[in-house]
Amino acid sequence: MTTILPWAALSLERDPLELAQIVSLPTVSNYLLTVGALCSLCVFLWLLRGGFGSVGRLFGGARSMVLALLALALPMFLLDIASIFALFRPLFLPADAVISANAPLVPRPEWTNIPLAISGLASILLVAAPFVANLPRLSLRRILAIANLSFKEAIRKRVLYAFTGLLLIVLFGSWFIPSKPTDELRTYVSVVFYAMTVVLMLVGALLAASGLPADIRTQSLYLIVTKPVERVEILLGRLTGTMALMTLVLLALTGAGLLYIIRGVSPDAAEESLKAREPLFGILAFKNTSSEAKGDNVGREWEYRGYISGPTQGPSGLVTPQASWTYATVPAYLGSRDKVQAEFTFDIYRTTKGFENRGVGIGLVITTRNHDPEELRKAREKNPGLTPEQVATDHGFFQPAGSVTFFDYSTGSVAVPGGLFANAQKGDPQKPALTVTVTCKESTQYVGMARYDFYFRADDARAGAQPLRFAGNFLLASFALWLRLLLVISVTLVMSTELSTVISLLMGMVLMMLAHVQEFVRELVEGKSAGGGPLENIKRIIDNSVAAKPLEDTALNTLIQQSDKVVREVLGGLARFLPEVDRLAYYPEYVGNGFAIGGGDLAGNAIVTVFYILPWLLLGYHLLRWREVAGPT
Amino acid sequence: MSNKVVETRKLTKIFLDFWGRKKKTALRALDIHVEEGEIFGLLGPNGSGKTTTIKLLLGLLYPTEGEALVLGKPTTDVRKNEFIGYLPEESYLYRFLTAEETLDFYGRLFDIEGAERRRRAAELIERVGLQRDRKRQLREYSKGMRQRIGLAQALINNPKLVILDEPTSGLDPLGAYWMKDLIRQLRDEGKTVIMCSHRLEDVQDICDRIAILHEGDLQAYGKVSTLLEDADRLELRASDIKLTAELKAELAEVIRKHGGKLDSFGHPTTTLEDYFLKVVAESKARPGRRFLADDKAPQAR
Repeated sequence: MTTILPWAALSLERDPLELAQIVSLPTVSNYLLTVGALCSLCVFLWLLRGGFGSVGRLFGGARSMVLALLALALPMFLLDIASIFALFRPLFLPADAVISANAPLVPRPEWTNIPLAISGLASILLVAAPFVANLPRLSLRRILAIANLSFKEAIRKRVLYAFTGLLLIVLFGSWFIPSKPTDELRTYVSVVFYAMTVVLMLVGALLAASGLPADIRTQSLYLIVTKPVERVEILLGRLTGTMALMTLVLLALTGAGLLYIIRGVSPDAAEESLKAREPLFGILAFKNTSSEAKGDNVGREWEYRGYISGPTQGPSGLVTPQASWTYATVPAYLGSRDKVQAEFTFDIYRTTKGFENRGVGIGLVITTRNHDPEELRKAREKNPGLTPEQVATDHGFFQPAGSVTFFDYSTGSVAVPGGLFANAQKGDPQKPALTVTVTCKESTQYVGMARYDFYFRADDARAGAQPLRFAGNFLLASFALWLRLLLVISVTLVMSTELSTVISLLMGMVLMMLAHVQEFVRELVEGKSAGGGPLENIKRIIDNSVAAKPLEDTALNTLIQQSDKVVREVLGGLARFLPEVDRLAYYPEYVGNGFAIGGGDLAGNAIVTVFYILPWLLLGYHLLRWREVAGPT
Repeated sequence: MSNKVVETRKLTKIFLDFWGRKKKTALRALDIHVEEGEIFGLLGPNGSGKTTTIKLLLGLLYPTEGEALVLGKPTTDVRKNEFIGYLPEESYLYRFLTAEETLDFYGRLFDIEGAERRRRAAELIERVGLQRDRKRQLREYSKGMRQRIGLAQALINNPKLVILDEPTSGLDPLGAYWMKDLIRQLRDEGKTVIMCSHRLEDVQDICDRIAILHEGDLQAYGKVSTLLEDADRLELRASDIKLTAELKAELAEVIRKHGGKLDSFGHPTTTLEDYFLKVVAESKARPGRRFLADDKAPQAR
């Protein structure tokens, strides 16, 4: 028997991160290859501009070490040169050749990854060496003094006034946003986070972009750099001060928003979403479909879900396509519960109209690794009165009584005996602890499923509104916003070490926008966007021509199309350096829908963000170190 | 006075444009040194290279050629700044800070402990006479007051070398007198002072040695008293006597005859202002002329 719940399940287009993924060899090697490629280019350009003299002035061990690192970094530099030439490779490829946004510019065997990653590491060490040498001289007191200065500057220049407008949106926004009770909390959370994101990011970026250029313009920096202050202390101080201020504002706004939501939300909406469900997701695979990973394709534009049909006639008889979620392990504490709730949201693709107000029937079977169908059959023969609880506990098998039906755009739920999870704790740990198998019972309908469409509730599904758990979840989403702030403030601050306020701000914003439309950039690189590449599109805008119409075969058009290929390669190269912000931007969806944010996922994203920022800070350090603070007089 | 606090060797600064082409030679092969415990003056018209020299010494600019050692360290070594105090020409202080906060901020940059920082700040605020205004933000200060707090921040680390860019600029005569007196006190405390100024009488009053720059070249360099000496004329100084026409005619005899006494007999000096103008005029008249070390008179290049 299924219960229909009023909320929708999460649609996660990207898998949540797991810590094991982040600290894995492929991820680390990929990072070293990407950052190392930039570092080696910088190192060798510096050498060509006279850096050899500086190396020559080093003594003994330091010189030997730098020379050894240079030798190690050489392969990466050669790869850089080859990659630069490879940018022009598409000019020599056939017109319909496919450019991949992810493939390396220079084709090379897989085994070269590790040696090149070591070469990349050597390049990074070379770039980081002056900074590391400076580390013992860094003073926390000086960094905090500059941080305190940035803080006071923002307060005394009344930057905080910018946030009062935001407070109005938070407090009175709901007057202008009509919503159904079921969507109430979701809408509130969206409005609060959207407003916080826009204002905090803009003000944070503006503060970061204006501090250093203003100091250089007013020459206040003269007095700082003539003190025993390392340039990196200026950078870190500015970053700390701006972040401290923005953190305080974020905390205040989070508190105000949270209070407003918890006190203002209607009891119905609170019952529905003022909580933090803890979903346990499995790994999805399909069977008896055209693809084991993606199921059948019904032609929907959104390729998020794979589909299974009802039983079909195959060459050797009736075949039942099925989708199954496997769980390597399940938490032991679920075994002590009476019931554990399973929830699911599937999509229906109808080939016939079906019946009004009647969902689609599916077969749902949950088994543990200890389930033996023969043994269960014998036990049932012996004792026909076996209850579902006994079957689950002793034989690792559960099938809901009656039919399981579901409707589009709603979440179905099934109560699973806790004994099943106790049974799953036993047996061979090499086998998956639990397997959920879903089949479609109707031959004219397709059921669409994605990995995150089915989950067990690790929290207590019977609990009503849980404001404290919701608040904790809300704070985690605020932390994700804090990470985005850290990202935009760091990048803009680094740009401001060399560029003016306006240009730094613009470039920081453009970088963040490109990061948000990475998918589109990839499509552009791979030639999947309508109307061809960027140059071709510009021409189409000028000519006012339709995107679907092929360009005429003229010399100019050929030149444009060929140049576009190079532009696409360059864009593809640059796209590799864009930050991952979409994952961070998605967390308010978890909160609004009442799902707990995974600690491992958020920690993984925090690590990714910090490691993205580190090369930027290194760049900022060198830019500020090389910069002549004063100009001609 | 044999320890060199500052030494420049062929110190050159050429400013380049965006394309890397030479835009202006601000300083050409400067060879000077400043000794411990002296007040050294850098003189020159606008654009002569004196502020560029100071910026090079402070590490605000990097030399195109040559090098400079400050307290025995290259100018790019920030550790030298531990012992330097700098007062720029304009007040580059943060105007949203109060006097106390300003000194506290710069004290922190020298990594000075809290209690010591507060003690020095209070002492310096008293020394520059800003006790009553110590809680006011600097945006409310007059130019003279900002110059005073600027000097206080330059002394917060009890420096060995104090670099002052136009220290008396914008000050009224009393303020200028106070500033000159304070600079002399700094020398008496054993500190070395480098200052550049347009006010020649100030430089003549307080500097031990000077360097005169014009269009990036060193034109004159040495002790003020030596540079101002006129070797072609004799000076006779007398006192307790009224000078008449007769007296002028028969000077030495008349002094004795009229019962006066001869105080001194030597080379008269011109004013620094006259000398400075003469040097600049000569430099303009003979382009390419420059001062070479150990030469008494400027040479043509």
